[in-house]
Formats: sequence, structure tokens, C-alpha cells
Amino acid sequence: MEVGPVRSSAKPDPPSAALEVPDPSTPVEAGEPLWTEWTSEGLRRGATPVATPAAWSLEAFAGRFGEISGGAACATLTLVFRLVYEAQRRGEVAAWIGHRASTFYPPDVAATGVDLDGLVVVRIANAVEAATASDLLVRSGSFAIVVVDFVGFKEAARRGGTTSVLDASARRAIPLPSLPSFPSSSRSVARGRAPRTFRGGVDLPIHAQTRLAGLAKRHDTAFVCLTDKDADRPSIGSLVSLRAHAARTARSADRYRCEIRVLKDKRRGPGRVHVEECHVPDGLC
Amino acid sequence: MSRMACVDLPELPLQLLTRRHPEWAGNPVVVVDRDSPQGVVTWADELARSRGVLPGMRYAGALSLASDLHAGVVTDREVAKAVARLTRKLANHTPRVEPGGAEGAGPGVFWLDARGLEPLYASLEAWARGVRDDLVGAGWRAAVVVGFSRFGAYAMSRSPDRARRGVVVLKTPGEESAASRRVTLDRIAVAPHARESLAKLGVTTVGAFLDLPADALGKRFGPDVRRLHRLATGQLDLPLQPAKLETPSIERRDLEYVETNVSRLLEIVKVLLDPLIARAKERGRALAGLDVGLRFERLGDHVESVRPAAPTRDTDRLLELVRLRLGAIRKLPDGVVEVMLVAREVSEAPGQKSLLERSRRDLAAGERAVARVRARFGDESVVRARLREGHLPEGRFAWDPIPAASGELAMSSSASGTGVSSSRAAGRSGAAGSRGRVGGEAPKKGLQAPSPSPTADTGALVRRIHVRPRALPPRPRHEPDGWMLRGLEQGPVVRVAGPYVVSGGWWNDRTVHREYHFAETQDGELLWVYFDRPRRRWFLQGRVE
Repeated sequence: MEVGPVRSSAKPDPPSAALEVPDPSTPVEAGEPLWTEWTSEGLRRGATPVATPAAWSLEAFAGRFGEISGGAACATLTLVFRLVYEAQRRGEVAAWIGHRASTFYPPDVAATGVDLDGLVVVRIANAVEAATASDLLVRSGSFAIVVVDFVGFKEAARRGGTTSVLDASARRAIPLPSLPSFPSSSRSVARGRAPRTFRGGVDLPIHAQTRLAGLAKRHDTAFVCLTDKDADRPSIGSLVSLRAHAARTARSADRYRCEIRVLKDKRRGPGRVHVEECHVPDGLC
Repeated sequence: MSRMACVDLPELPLQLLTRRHPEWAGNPVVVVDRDSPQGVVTWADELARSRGVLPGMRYAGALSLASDLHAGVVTDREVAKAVARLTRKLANHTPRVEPGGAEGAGPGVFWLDARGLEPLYASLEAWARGVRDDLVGAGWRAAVVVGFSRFGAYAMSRSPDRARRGVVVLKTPGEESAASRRVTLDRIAVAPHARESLAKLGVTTVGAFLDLPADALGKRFGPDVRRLHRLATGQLDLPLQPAKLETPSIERRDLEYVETNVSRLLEIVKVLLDPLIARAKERGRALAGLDVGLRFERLGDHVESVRPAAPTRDTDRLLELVRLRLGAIRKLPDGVVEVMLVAREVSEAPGQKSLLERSRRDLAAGERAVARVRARFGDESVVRARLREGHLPEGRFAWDPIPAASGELAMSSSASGTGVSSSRAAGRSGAAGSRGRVGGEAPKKGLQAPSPSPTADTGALVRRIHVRPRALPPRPRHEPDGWMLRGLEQGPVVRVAGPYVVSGGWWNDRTVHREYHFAETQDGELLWVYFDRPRRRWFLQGRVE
């Protein structure tokens, strides 16, 4: 019996000239397509990566649903205020949504150059209200960046703080004129059922995420959420377009090396790293 | 015959302070311009004066004379609000009320037109007694003098023995003149340096003051003293200039049934809103705010206030804000039996567009969005940070509600512990050290195009602060595994920087001594902690992020 030649089950090697994987370190001229030949799958790819890694700028977040996470050694507040500062340098207004009980320290923020008068701060009780407030603000199209500080909500939940929408302090009861005076109501006005207690994580409903992502894109607003989680934890949701992890990675005397690592980027792909050196606040003042 | 009454609420700022702190009754109380040892005493009560504490002294010096001295700050705004409230109250007794302030009379002095009241009351004394009883019933100390001239009634109201009686009705101009001449100069608004100089000349009473030649007074003591002399002698007769009291525009409806449905309630609000808007339009005014009053069947009265981004006559916009505010209530706690709308009207100022567009974004839309957030979550939900002078971290800033572009601040401002601003720092002023208003500057209205600092320290780390520092577990004597500040997960503290000591409040009952540290844990968390020496406990102030 004649035995034919042995045929290998492996696919044949493609012609070496048809597929040239470029060296990522080689700079590419902007506009020049990276792959101009057919791949073995027969798909034409014309991806054009940027010439240099993008710096930490508002431009990267404009029109997108972004998330900046940080673990124990985090630098989220510091680095997000760079974006706020940049928005203000352009003459645009920024908004901050956070919990009443835990927030950024305004003197430190002012020291970084941010104009506190140009920063609208919404102080609320829980993440559900944060979604509503975000919707109202992003929808207006007036804000270059809207930041939701979910880390503050987590801190409040950790302390066992209230997440209820009840807030009687802003309410007052006055007797209506020319009518017998009624005793002031000693109970606050019930506002329906209290939202479920926030216990870590981010409770941003998917329909809210969808709406916010669409609004951010329509109005070219950077919608950024700050979260407290490690880099290996998943994003808030699949609609997050850009996820970065901000951490302090090294220390020298009173300076820290702060790194932002892009974990997810639907436009440019992950992997970029931005590094800054920051110093600790001078004592207290 | 012209009849004029003078109502004197002596030391109004002091009265405001003691109303705020009723527990200080029986102790010497002073008003200072700022809550610090270098604060200057501006008002002192009789008990403080008896110990030698006088206006013009430093707070620290006053404390050395009276160790049980209590002090507080009363801002000009609080005084102005009280004067407005009292003017409205006095307007219930006579249509023409002029608040003091003119002729250096100071806050707390009001002139009332007492003409034509005899047919309405048994006597002028009955009327004056009614005015005083109304004020005393509201908790004020007051004296009412009915006289014939502005100065005469004022001087009599300041006379200590007359003021103690509470109500004085002078029968004839001669009686008024004779009685006022006996009043000492330290009781009326004469400049202190002029009063001291006159005292050296033996001029200590109003009568002796009136006997001096007016021209010589002007040359020696200045135009203010001369003017007072002319007023006192009747040469300068100022007519009453009553305050213009605006009656708010109100629409109300008594419901024939008990309403428990929010949607139907909103329809009622819509029906009541139309005539309010129409009235404002007739007057050429717009609505800067709207109060929605609900009278519950059992729970009593409740008010919700909404403010649009800018004064408006747009029914839909106002309704949207009311819908956002009431819409959060899925179920009313009780049935509503009456609805009342009170409109806050302002004059419609023509808007002016800026020549140069600074921003590609529509700030007006942003202000409307902010108004919606305010309507949805409360007036104190939308704020700006304001820097203050202070030693403690939580005292170095405050949250100010963002006023609408119309300029009105929130009616129902919170004074809760987690509320807007600390009462301790009210009225404090100081140099601005960074980008933020410090002290008593007026908050900017609406959304502002920002002006960040071009030469800022962008390399600084930013801290998170907990409004209420969290008490940490006491440190055990023996820590074999290190200081577990946050628990086993974060690991022990590996590095501590500090202490940075903050100490103060020794001039009052609020002694503070905190030793701040930065504590870095094994997993890299950089915590902002302090040891509270009076309480001997560690607290977590915040974190560096």
C-alpha cells in the first residue's frame, strides 16, 4: 500500500510578506495605516494608532463615560482634579456629585489652582440620587466634566451613615396666615420608600448608565465616576468607555510617584500609562 | 398736631445673641466682631458693663475682667433681617414705620407715625401699650415713647428710667422738651470723641448740649454733631420716611376634600399658579421663587420652596420645579386640606448678553439644570466651597448654597450639623490665600465662568475629609503586630509623619487640642488621623487620595 505524504493538521504558515506586525516602539506617522495587507483571515485592517501615548487630559474623557478607580494607595482625587483644572482653564464649568459626609478637602483643591467658585458641588445621600443628579446636569450640556464620587458613598456606608433621602433640616413648617396656628409638624415628609442601603460597590442601574453614556456623548461632556476598587475588579458596567486606575506606586521623601494605568479604552485600547510626581500636603495648612 | 412714636429695642445685636443662646441668661454677654481673642467687643450688656467690660475692648482683655463672659458674633445680615422682621411686625400697628439707622440712631430704633390713631384706640397710651406688648410677647425688650418730634421721642426712649417703665406718652411738646433735656449724652448717638470733649467742658446732658451755639459746634466737632444739634433744636425737621413693605402675592385654596394624590395636587398648584403669574406680569415683575404651602389634616403645615435659575414668568418651568420637588414624594404622609402659593416677585431686569462668548457651553441651561437639582434634592444640595480662616480642617471651609441668578438665597437654609456653614465662623474675614472666597464676601450668583489660577501647585496631593471624624479603636498597650489602624485587611501602620498640633478655643468653652499625623499602612493607604488630647482618642479625619 502506498503511503502518501504526511499532511500536517496545522495551518500553513502565511507568506511572511503578507503580514508584518509592527514594533509598537516604532513611531508611526499619523494617518499612515498600520496594516495594509490582508491578514490570514482575509480582513483588511486600517488601524492607525496615535503617534505617542495620550497624556492625562480632559480630551481623553470628553464625550465618554469614564471610570477612575483606586485601591488602598490611590490617587484618584488628585488626578481627577487635574481634569477639572483643565476644564476650568478652557473657561468651562465643572460639576461634582458626592456624599455629604465625605468629600474632597477644598483648601487642597484650591491649592492645585482649581477655582472653587467655578465648581458646582451637589451633595446628596446615595448613589441612586447621584444618578438622577448626574442625568439632570449632563443633560444640560453646560458642563465640561461631571464627576461622581462613589468613593464618598462607600465611605459613608462603611461608617453606617444614612443613605436615606429624608432630610428634614431643609424643611420648615410655617403657620398659614389668618388661620388658626397649627403645631409645627414634627415629622419630616416621607418621600416614598428609602433606597436600598449602599454597601460598597457602585449601585448605578444599567438603564441610568445607558442614558448617561448617551448624554455624555451627545453633549461632549466627560462623565467620570470615582470608585474604590483594585485594578483587577470589573468596571461599573459594560458601558464604561474608559477605565483608568490611579495609584501611588513609589515614594521618595515627601513625594509620591502617581501612576494612571488605562485598563480599558474602547477607542484606543488599554495599556497606556501616565506618570506624575506629587507631594504630600504641607502638614495641615 | 403731629404725633410721632419712637420704639427702641436697646442693644438689638445683644438681644439677637441672647435669643440665640437663652442658656446664657444671668451671665455677662458681649457681641464681638469675630470669634478670636483679638476680637473687639462691639456691644456689652449691663452685667458686663458692671464688671468693667466696655465696647472697644479686646475679647481677651474682657475675659480677664469677667471670667464667665460669653461672647458671640452677630453679622450685619442677621441684624438687617431682624430689622426687616420687626418693621413688618410694627406695621401691624401703624402703616408708616421708619427703621432707624439714620442720624446714627443705630439698629433697634424705629419711628412710627402715631397720627390719627385716637379714633381707633381707647387712647394713645393703649395703642403704645399694644405695640410694646406685641414686642415683649415675641421675646424682645422694648420701650415705646409717644411724643411730638423725632429727636424728642428718641431721646426719651433712651432715658433709662423711662425705658424701664416701657411706655411713655408725652402730653405736650413742652413736656417732651423739658424731659428730653434731662437725658444724658451717653444715652444718645453722639460720637464718642465728641461726647468726651463735651464732658470735659461740663456738657453732659441734652439740655446743656442744646444751649451751645450751633455754628461753634460745627467748627469744633464736625458736621455730624452740628446736624444732630439742628435736629434736636427742631431746625431740621425730617419727615417720616416709612419703609416700603411689599405684600407677597398669594393664592390659596381650601380643598373641599382631603387630597392624598400627588398628581392631583400638582394640578391644583397649576391652577393657582396662573393668576400669580398674571399678577406678576401686570406689575412688570417676575417670580424669583415660589413657596408651596401644604396644610395637612393632622400633621400641620409644611412649606416647600423652589427657585428657578432666573426670575421667570414661565408657568411650565415653575411647574417642572414643583413637580420635581413634590414628585419625589410617592405617597403623601397625610391628606392635604389647603394649598397656598406665595410668590417671591422681583423686578424684571433686562438681560444683557455679553459681547464676547467666553464659553462654548450654554451657562443658562446649566443654571436651569442646577435649579432642577435644587428642586429635586433641596436648596442645600447644590453648593460651592468657600474657604475660611480657621485652625481646624473642618473650620477652613464652608459650603454655600449657590444663589440663583436672581440673587435670592435659599429661604429654608439649613443650620444642621451637616448643614451649610458653621455658625462659629459667621462674619469672619481674612486674607484670601488661594482660589476661593474667604470670610464675608457675598456668594456669586448662578454659574460663573471659572478663573483658575495660572500659577498653581498642580503637583499637590488632594485629601478627602470626613465631615464627622471617625473615632478609631483605642490603641492597646501592647501591639505585637503593629498599629492596626484600619483593621487586618489594610495591615499595620508602617510610617507616621507628624505631629502637627492644632490648639485653640481656650478663650471659650471649646478647648481643642489635636495632634495630626499622616499614617501610611502596609498596603499603601495614607490616612489623615489625629489624636484628640482632651478626649484621649484617635480619630480618622480623612485620607490622601
